[in-house]
Amino acid sequence: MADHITLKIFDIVGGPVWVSSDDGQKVFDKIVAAFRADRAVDLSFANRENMITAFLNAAIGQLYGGQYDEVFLKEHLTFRDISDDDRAMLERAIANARRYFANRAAYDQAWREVTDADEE
Amino acid sequence: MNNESKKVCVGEIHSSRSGFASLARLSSALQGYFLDTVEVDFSACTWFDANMSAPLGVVLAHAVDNLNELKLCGINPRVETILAKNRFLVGFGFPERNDTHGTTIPYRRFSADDDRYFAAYLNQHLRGKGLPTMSVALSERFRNSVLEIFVNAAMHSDSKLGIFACGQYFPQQHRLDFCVADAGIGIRRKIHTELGLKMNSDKAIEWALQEGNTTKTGSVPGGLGLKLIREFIAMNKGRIQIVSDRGYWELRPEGETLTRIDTAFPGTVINIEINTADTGSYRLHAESGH
Repeated sequence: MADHITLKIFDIVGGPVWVSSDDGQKVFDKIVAAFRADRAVDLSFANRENMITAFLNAAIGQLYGGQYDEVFLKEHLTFRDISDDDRAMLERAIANARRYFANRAAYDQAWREVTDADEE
Repeated sequence: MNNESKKVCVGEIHSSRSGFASLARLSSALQGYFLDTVEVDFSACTWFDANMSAPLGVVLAHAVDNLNELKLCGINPRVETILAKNRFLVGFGFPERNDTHGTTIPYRRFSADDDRYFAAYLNQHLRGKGLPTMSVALSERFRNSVLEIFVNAAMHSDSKLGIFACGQYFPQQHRLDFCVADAGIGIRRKIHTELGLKMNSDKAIEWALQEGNTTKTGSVPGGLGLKLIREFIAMNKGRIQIVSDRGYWELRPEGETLTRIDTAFPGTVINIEINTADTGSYRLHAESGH
């Protein structure tokens, strides 16, 4: 069983506004660094003022890109100090990431078949 | 250098398809000018929805970027009051007016990396003053929606002239309109550049609205923000409009419209309008649409 470490988003981003993909990337990088050091991560959402999916896609969504399997993430990543609404948003971001990584090629191909263009 | 004064005209501008089409035509009329002094004549404009200052800002910024000097003239007192209160006219040498009713969210121009400044602007201006007392959940979903729109524009538009924002509360109609406009390449060209998919402007908006579709490539997933905004607006019985290039899409309680306007708008605009009196629950569901 891996030792736990608490990562506070507020500290990593340096404030309570969590909206940009770049700030999400900072959180992702810290989570990955902790995993590499064989730590399980408790990610704290305390003190947030603003949070949107663009941030969550980078911070959490990209963990589902295949580098880690679902079992590993279940055992090594937990969320704390998070409201019900934020948890729902987080779950939507995770579900969206799973779909994105599973269906990317299919999405594009489907549109390739239906598109038309008469604009220059 | 051409010192002869040139003139373009602005008519009534509402937050409607025809309002956006008028601004696109204005942009087209300004396109031929370079190093000119151009009069922007408002004498035919008897009403201007304050939130539409954001796309007007895009249109005029393109003209200024072409080294033109713009002189706004013929503005009737009612329109001048609207555009002075939200500080749009200040940039054109007009005096600032006090927003005594506190119903405006002022016109601002941001850089793409101004996300924290933009959040602070929203947090500041959506509190207190004459703005409606919305439920906490409604206020939060509204703010999140506008932030998603801003961050989307910052990430995808390639706008070198910035991102323009403005909001207006209409107390008698219990509606709050907020508009974010960028001066970028538009959704159609972005999809073509990033993914090689070629489609018309209206189809491009439809593509961007599908959950999971994103021009982002690489390891960060996207394509969720607009889907959540759409769910929220439908719940609130509000309205959302997207204009990009020649594409126009609108969602309102009566239905959905996807069409094209005659002239290309030089960027992308998203206008959202919410019903501020709604007291319904805005709880996000972990998964919906299944």
